[in-house]
Amino acid sequence: MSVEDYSDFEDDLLETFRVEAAEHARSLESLILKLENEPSQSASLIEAIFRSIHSLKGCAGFLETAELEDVCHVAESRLLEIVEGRKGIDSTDVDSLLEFSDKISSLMGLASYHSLGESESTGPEVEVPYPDDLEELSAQLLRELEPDPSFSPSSLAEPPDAPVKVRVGVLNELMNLAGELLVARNQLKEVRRSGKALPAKLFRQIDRLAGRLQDRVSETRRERFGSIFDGFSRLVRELRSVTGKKVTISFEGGETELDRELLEVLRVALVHTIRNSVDHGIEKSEEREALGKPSEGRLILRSHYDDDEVVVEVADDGKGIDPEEVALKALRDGLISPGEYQAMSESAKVQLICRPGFSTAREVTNLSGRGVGMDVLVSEVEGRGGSVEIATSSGQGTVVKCRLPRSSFISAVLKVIVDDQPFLLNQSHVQEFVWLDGRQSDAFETIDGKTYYKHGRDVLPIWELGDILGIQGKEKQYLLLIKVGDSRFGLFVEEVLSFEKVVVKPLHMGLHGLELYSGTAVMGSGRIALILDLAAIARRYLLNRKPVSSSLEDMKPREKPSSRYLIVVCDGEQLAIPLSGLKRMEELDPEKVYRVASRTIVEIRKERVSLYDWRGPVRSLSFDGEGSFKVLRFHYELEEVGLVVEKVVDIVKTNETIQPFGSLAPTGILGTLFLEGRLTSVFDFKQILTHLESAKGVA
Amino acid sequence: MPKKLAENLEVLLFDIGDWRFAVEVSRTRDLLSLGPCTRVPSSHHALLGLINLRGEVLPVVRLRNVMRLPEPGDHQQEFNIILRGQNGLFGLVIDRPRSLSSLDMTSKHSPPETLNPNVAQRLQSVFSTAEGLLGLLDVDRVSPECL
Repeated sequence: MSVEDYSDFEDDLLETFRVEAAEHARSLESLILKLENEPSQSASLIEAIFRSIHSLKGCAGFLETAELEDVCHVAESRLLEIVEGRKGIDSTDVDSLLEFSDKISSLMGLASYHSLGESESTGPEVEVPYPDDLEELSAQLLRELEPDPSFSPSSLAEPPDAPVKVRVGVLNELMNLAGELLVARNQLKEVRRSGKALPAKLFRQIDRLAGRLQDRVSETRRERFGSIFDGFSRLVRELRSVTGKKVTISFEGGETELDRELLEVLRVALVHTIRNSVDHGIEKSEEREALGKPSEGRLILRSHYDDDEVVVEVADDGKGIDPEEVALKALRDGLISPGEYQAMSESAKVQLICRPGFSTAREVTNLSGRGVGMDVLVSEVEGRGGSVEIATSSGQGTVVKCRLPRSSFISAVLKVIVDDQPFLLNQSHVQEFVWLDGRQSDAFETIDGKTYYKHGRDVLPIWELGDILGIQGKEKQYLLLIKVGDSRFGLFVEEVLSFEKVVVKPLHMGLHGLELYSGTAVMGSGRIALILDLAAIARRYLLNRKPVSSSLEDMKPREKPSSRYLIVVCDGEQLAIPLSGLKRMEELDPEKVYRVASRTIVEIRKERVSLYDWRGPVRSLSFDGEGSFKVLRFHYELEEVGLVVEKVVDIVKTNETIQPFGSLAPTGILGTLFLEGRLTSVFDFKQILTHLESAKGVA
Repeated sequence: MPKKLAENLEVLLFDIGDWRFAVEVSRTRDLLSLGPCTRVPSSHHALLGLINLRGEVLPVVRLRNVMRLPEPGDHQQEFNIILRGQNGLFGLVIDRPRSLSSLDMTSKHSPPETLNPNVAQRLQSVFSTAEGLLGLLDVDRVSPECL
């Protein structure tokens, strides 16, 4: 080994130690936080903390950083004192240990809790070769200009050398794809040399390879949602001591994967949301006890996939948002006009808190109330093609729900034309498009001057995209059926061109106020196309529609003053279904319905769900006509079960008690309720399932 | 950024019709001829649209519309000055760029009362030069977010 080789080897070795030390430092904080939350595990946790600090101390010796070594040494002694004190671990102990972990993180140059909410520095400016043939003046101007790194053109700001872990399998696959692409390129050269037209097969092959390469590369950019949990335990702990409120946070869906940069943006934006929840949402313990709620407030940060989207939610069981208070504040601040105020539905009033500059805090506190908060989250999420919905219920809590495309930069869009200009719609929001050949005239209906479209058993409001944008459209030839969150509506457009994948570029701040566009994309021609903000359009045009939300239910306190019911039509019968226990609602895809051993089963995202109607297992489903079915999914024991309904009518809230049917009640029918002026049977799905199971036992 | 001495201000001079304006060189990034532009329906009439500058999407504002100055009789090629706004780069469409110049800060006035108010409210100050009066543009009052 030459001297040079040896110094390389030494560098590698040091780097290995550095990486190892960084891992120990990161795990330290989460171990310390666990110590407080899981006192029963304290013995094994203390041991793990010991090991971490000790290994760090070892690494520090190798890295020749005496300060780090000293801090580790003091931390070890402090830990020993705690163990030998033999009293339980209290929060002052945890505080002092966290101080050590912060110090270690900062010595290691790692981002610690304190960097939450502060933006990362941008990468160095990339020199872009200057293509234009400029006139003399422009050249002269350029010479005059001083370089200013804060105006970096790179929109993909990432710490330049942050290492990323990639699975070997993915790396191998990337290599294979690159190899295949190389072969295809050689074929392309061959075709060009021969002067023949490009064979369709080669085109398809390159198209497929580019698509797969993009998929794999975005896979390497993904990170687990759970990686941000520790920071939030720490934040809530801090908020607890600042506000004096009792509150805990729990996490779900840590295995969901999101784009690294998107996750970073969310991490920063969610800090505001969680601060708001603790500061404005969660009541003081005495107040909670007086209301019959558990004295400790609860926050949940959770995430799951929904088709092509990732859903991230922050739920609290605080006092909820009062729509009137919000709307009156907005009125006073001139954010809305008295006319708008009159026309607004309750949910539209609640959504006002997402407007820039809105603040309900009676006084500005340390934590929140400066009017920065929700609008940060909304602009970040919507700027990436997502949407934010807020569901709130007085006295029961608030859920802030963000829906985001799985990949933040590359988005699948549908290109449509209005007045000769292309516009892009997020593909995941377009359910269907209908070519208007004159045969659908029966499907349209005009009520009070508004046009509606009958789609299966639903009636959807329709607008012309040209009218929404304020431009003169030509003859409309297509109808798009849009679904954003829980809202559905139709849009007329002139032409539907193609599905495309585009790289999303954020919209300039000056255009956010229009609430029409969520971003832009550079098309193949080099021209720019606007991406429509369907969530904002839905908010504006569906002001008076009630949001359908079930996610609040599992946050309900035990003694509920009133209950919510979903009114549905199931096998011809109108039923009220208690919302509690309902997992989710989805469209039934006829192609994925199978008959197996006298059962009907549907496959939804690789899960098998047995289908029932209110009488029992579904024997057959007819998908004739345009009828579509929805599945209400429930958990039963370990099974996934779904109730097939033809139509969801409404969600109602009532504190009326159920009138029993008597002993002749059909199985599953709990009794009756007077809802919205109509006597409705209340259906309990569980009863049917228990009944069926016991019948099976007898047989 | 190192600040220059206050006596002189480096500016780019440009025209709109008979008007002559100046913009600080330190806020200027680029000068291009105006190419294709994607219009943004429902936006302010002075927002001409969006352009693609080497992969970045920038809004473009037409100064003639901002200041409500009359349209010229004949159509001419317009130019696009790329400026540094507080929320990022944007383009400002003008008739003709003229030259780089250095303004003497001692000849600075506030805009005269008789000046067209649509123009006056977009200016920082007015300078008297050998060639006549010159308006120094306030970049933060012509950017897309303040239309």
